[in-house]
Amino acid sequence: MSQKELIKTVNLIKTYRTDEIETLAVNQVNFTVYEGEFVAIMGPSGCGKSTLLNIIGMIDNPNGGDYFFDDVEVSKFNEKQRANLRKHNIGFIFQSFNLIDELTVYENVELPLIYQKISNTERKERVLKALDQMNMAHRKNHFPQQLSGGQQQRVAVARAIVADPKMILADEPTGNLDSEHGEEVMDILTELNDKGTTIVMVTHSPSFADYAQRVVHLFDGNIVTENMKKKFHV
Amino acid sequence: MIKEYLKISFRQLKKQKLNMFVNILGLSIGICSAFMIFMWGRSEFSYDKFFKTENKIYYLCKKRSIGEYGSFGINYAILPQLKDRFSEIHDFTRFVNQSNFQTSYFTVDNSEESNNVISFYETKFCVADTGFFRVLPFEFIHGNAEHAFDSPNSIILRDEVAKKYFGDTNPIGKIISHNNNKDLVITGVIKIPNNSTINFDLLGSIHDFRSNKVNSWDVDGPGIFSLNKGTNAKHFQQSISGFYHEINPYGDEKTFLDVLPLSSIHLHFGAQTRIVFILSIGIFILILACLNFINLSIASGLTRFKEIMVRKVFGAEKIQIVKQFLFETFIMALISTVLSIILIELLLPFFNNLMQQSLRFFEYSNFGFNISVFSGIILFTMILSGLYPALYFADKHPIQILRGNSTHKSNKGRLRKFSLIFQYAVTIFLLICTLIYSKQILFIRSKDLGLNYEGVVKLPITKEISDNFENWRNDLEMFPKVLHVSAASTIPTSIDNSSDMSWVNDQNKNSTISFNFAMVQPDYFETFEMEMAEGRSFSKDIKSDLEGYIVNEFGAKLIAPNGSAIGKNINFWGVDGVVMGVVKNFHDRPLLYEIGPLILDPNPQHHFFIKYIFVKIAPGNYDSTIDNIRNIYNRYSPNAPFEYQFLDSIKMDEYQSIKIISKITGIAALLTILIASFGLFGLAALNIRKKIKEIGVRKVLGATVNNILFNLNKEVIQLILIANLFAWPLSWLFMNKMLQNFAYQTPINFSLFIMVGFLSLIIALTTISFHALKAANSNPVKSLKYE
Repeated sequence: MSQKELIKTVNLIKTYRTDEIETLAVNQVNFTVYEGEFVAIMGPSGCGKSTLLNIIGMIDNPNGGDYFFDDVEVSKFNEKQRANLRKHNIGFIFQSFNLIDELTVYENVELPLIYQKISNTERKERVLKALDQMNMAHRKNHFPQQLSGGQQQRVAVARAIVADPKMILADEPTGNLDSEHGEEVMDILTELNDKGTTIVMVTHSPSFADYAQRVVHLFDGNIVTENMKKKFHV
Repeated sequence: MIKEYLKISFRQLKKQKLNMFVNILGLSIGICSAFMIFMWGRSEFSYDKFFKTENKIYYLCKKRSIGEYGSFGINYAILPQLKDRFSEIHDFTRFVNQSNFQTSYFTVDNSEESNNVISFYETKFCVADTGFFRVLPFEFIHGNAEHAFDSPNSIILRDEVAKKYFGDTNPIGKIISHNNNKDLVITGVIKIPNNSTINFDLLGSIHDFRSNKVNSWDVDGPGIFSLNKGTNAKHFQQSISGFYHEINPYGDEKTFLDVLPLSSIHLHFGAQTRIVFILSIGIFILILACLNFINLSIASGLTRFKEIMVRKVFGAEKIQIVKQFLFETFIMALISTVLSIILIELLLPFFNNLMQQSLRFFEYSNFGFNISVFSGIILFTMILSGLYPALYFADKHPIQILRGNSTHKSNKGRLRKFSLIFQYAVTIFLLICTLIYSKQILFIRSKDLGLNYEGVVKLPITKEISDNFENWRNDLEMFPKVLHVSAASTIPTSIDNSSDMSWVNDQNKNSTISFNFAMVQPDYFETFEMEMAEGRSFSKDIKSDLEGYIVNEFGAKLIAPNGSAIGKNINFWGVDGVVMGVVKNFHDRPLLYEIGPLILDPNPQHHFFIKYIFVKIAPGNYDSTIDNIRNIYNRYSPNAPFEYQFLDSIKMDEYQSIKIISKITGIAALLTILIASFGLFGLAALNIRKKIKEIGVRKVLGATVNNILFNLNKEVIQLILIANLFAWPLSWLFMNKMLQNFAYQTPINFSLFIMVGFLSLIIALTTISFHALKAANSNPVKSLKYE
């Protein structure tokens, strides 16, 4: 088993400022995720869990502290550098799916590969493989509006994995789904993790957090507890 | 990647069908209208630039030391002497419209071949010097320039006129008769482009028709000359400046000679102002349409927040986002351009009819112009409408997507507000101008001119009738419906000839003032129901009346400021006579000019100047009376064509340019209303879509449909009011200036501005009412559930 640190934050700080108010969303957080781990981040609304996830996903910048991704310090990267690192290493799954309505299922899943400038032939092969994995290949020519919530989230997962990322970040992936479809998505994530993909998931649900090997609790921007749920697989 | 962009572009078009349709149609209409105006403007500025010659061509003019050019007429005597003195002159020609001085009809006797005699009156029969074609190398279809005036009694025809008389036959060497009096040999047929200031239908030699004038100091038309290659025109002008005084020491000491390039002539006497005004309308329409397009594209683009952020999250670079937006707006601009070309082809005939032009879109010579203009428009709209949303998104963090923020909160919509105010201000400006122009035309049409044209027919006089006028009159007056018969040198409201008139004033000194004049036959005043202020009119039964004169009230006041002009001795054209009557002032010139002094001369020695017969017919069935007149006319002049016109049908002919401007302004106003309404319609849809949650919440809290409507319309009402505040003073200032061209103006009433203000509000509110009512009546559950 590799105990390689994929993510390491050191005294990470994120502050939101308006004209009158300054909010410390992430307060000196030291957080590590090892390669192959499945980590759940929990906490009440407004505790900073999504903010932490955004910083990990390089979608947002910290105001202080360091962030190492795969041993590379990225907190001072510009948007272009972050985008480059992000597209080759990280897949995203969102609560509200965020599929593009004007694109078919196939085209939505293909999107990350287009931005990596992968050839047409290889793109086709990988998209179909990802859709097959999610049992959505038969709907590849449909548009998102024609799918149920569960199906849309399966397409979103296919999109997240098609580029073979090192890590998947999932922000409340079951938030807009009923329990049956929620469990379906969690099973998929577990399966991916079993195959070696690192997963960091934000969730409100203790039952879905149980799928993870480690649960990190945040409160007012601080990590308050970390529980090892189970050993992660070699 | 291009394939991806194309795919997304067309799917976006399909998704927002109505908005895209409105957007594309608005831009197409704008491009089409503006382009036709630009084509026209290009044509106007291209006058006389088609001559292929190395020798530059100029008008010789007389310029006073202060002020504009007096006119483009030049004394006959000057140019020949100038050519003798200055070797820089390549050649010269004087150019006179002979039809202005003599009724001219032309006859071709084809009776041997086809039993056909073709005869027409011609209003553009001109005469010129033999150097005409060396100065102005028009293209010859038959014949050639070198030998056109080799022999006396030569004549050159314009190609359409040659076709009129001779069909497709080559007329070189054939005979055409002038007034059944002089046979002329056709030595050439030429093509005159539409953009030529020098315009004629037939051209004869000045020595054949005005031989007694060629060395005189009279002024009957312009003088044109060409300079030898390499001559500096400015230096030449300086060297000839004082020549006028040298050869005419008794002339006006403030007058100097000047040279004007031929290509600038068309732009004089208000033409440049008119052209610039109309071109500005074209530019404004295009700006409006582009602004609309940009606005709608940006607003529509900014609703794609979610899509763009997802793309960024999954690795899209800034340049890829920019390219995507630019490509999409390029596609839309291209579709609009193609549609506009179709519209141009369909609408150009109507435009040509309106502007009295014959512009063509698909012409080789226009290719470069067309490509440049369309490329410029596509580039301009593409960059402005694609770049703004592209750069807006390109610089944003993807974080917004994770906040579930799928709509863009605009930065107070400054661009949208500015463009709405601008569009409506231009629309209101044009509406006000149109209404004022229309009011002025109505004013002109209905103004009491001091005479009555009703039932008066105009006929060209022939030599036979002129020589036997009294018999002609008696023959016509046999018909009971013929009320009066007279003749004159011009129609009474177009007296634009002037000459000096002298008298001895109350201080016993000689006074000389330039009077407008017309040569008339007795019964002139009765024919036009002009009222006499003093004295009496010329009687056909009193021979001595033909030695008197009649002046108008204005002229009478000059002659006798302290008393009556009746009985005063005056001298006109070297002939002494007595003022026997004073006619009440009437508008002897178009209403652009104030009434001035006028003299009416019945002297038979001056009857050669008379060109028209006027017959007043009693109301009722005119046809039979016209037939009777025709029969008498043909009896006197069997070879002359019978052409007549009722004067009230040509009353407004002198106001062609204001009628054109009024029509163009009116059409432009309609177009801007359409384009602005398209824009407002599209923006309202997008705006209300953003407010759907707010409307739902307001309804839940108790707002009525009217409350919602007011809330939605409030901003638009404010913006329209601001647009009015801008447009009113600008339009008042502008129209005030334009109406200064008229000596008699319609008043500009404030109520007109109020009316247009209301109209603009009604138009705007009607435009958005579709979306506003739909939103106000929507079920709040749906909108809140959606959110």
